[in-house]
Amino acid sequence: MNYHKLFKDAFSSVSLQNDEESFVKSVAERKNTMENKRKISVKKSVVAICACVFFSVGTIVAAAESPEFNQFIYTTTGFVIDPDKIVYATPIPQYPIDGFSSIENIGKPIAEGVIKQEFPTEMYFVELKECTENKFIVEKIAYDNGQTIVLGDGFELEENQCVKITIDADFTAEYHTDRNGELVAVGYIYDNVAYDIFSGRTDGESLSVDFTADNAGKYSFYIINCCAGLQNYDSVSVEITNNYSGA
Amino acid sequence: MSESEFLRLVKLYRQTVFRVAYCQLKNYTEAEDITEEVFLSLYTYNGDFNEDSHAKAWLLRVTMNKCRNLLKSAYRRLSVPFEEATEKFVFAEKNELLDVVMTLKPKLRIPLYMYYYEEYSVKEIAGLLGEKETTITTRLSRGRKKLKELLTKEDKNELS
Repeated sequence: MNYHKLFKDAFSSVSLQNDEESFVKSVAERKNTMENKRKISVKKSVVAICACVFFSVGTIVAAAESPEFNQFIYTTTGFVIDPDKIVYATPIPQYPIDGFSSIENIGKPIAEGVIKQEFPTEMYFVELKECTENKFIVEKIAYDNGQTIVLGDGFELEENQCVKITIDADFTAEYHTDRNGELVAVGYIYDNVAYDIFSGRTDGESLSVDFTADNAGKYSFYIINCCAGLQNYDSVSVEITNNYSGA
Repeated sequence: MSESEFLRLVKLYRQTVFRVAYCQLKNYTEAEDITEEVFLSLYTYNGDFNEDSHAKAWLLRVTMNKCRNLLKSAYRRLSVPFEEATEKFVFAEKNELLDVVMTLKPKLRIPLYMYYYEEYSVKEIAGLLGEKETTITTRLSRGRKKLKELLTKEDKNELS
């Protein structure tokens, strides 16, 4: 398929319909509107600051004389100042991206304790759907630090059978400041014992982990959010890459 | 920036900026608005560009940032633009290929557009979008796969 031609054809009709002269005129009008707005907002700000100073001085003087002065003062910038002048930042709330579901809403809690990572974790069982032959997937999920997702209810594998676990993360949420990757652990549970296969950072938004079963039997696969905040995944899939005989 | 230089860059790149904004926003009016804002930023920009390619890269970077800010704004998140809601496209010709491309997710659509239409390299796209090169490579590969699937599906629908 010639993608160059395809994109040239697709976008050939996408164009601004006004001519250059009216475009430049619109930009000039926008500039004038912006300057007028700026003048008005400067005037408004000066008036507002004068008013605030006038009222705040009175309020602070009154508060300092009050016996309740020692209570926390909540400032409008989202910081909390305690009487010892220690400043704590209020954490930025983290919510799943629109359309993504938190595992607490779509999963079933199955255990709470310590798994491989040596920190407490809540385990959730999340159902997978078969998207293509031998490939099972869950899409648009979000989970928090220390939470573990157990993917599906286990796979009957034969000896030397191969499995690929793929994570497609989504970093578009504004609280994702670290775009170099997020910390995760991927592992399997065999005979009621958990073993890590991978523990580290995703490569950008992607991570693929390969696993080969040493023995025949039932294997469950899990992922753990090891970073400090919420992680959003476009999809997590488990693909049995050879000789799969069914779950 | 001198007025003659500004007018020259408008002539050269206003359609490019508009296409990039449209590719991201999927909405004619908003893309037109962003294009005007980008050129207003250029008009008030104090620096100089050594080459036209630098000016183009600067314009595209500003476009991407402005689109991103618009998409993040409470107004955009809480409302569905009329064109999107009605799937009404304002371009004179009905372009089915464009309709198919625009159904891709923005994170796949934009790198594909930059690579195949604007003919930027993976490294340049990574720089423009503030992502890692491996992420762009993955998105290009996923985008191609998805596009192929969509086009095959479209062909089957036409046949049936």
